[in-house]
Amino acid sequence: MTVTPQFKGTHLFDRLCWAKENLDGVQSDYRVVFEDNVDACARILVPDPNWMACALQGGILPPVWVYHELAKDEAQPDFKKHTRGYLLHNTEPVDVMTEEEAIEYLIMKDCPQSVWTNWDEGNRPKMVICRKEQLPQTREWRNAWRISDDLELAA
Amino acid sequence: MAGKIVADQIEGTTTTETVDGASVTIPNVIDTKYVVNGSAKAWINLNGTGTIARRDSLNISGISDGGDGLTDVSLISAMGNNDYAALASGSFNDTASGSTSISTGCRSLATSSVRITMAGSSNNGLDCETVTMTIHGDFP
Repeated sequence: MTVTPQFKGTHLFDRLCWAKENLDGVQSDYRVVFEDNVDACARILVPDPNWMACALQGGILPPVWVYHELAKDEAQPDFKKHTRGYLLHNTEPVDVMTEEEAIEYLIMKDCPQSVWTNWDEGNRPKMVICRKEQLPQTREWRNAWRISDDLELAA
Repeated sequence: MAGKIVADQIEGTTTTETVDGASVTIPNVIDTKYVVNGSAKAWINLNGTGTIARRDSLNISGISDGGDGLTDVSLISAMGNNDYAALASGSFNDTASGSTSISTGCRSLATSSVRITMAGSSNNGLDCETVTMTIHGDFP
């Protein structure tokens, strides 16, 4: 098994280049379907295989809170450029994750907070984690796809 | 074997060319900072049809299918600002007419994501079989 070097303090991009060179991509079967706009169709998030390999390997990706901190900075009206980029590179990388933990991480990183903070509140769910084969097999009426009102959610 | 080369410049053999009858020395030295800063910071090749799927990539955490001709790409190592250069292209095999023109673009540039749009000749969203994108810019 490939051993991850001690990456603390290493630029995140350098870590990703190491991972691409040394790790095989892992294509997850999980997909995240979410709705962040009532006027738009459902979006489908597909994890990147290289990213998933990093998550399963451990010691490469920064904690997800780092992205939230940077997002706060970017949301400031006078934002010009990131001044806390060191958070990405110098924060202790997260340890090995399971595939399910990785999907949770990815949701908190790449889905809007308005979706995942209260995904199951309201009249209908705003987000569903499913497997690839549970999605429609064709893209017919793709721009009208919504999460089913009749969905039975697992506890 | 791991290792690294530390250098401020890369220099090749000096060459000259004749331009309008005059001999001109061709610059062949470049600072390594331009090589490093000029390299792509993220790239992806994906299939935008069916259940969208990436073929290969670097520095991408996930892709999000937002409907016909609409794909969001999220970065792992965020860019330093929103003023980077993102370039996308899409190709579509229309065996029926063979004449479909596609316009592709990148918008909603954020430091950790970018939206790729693909449209056909009548500005309708169009799913492309081969979508590629590269990002050039500065890291924080």
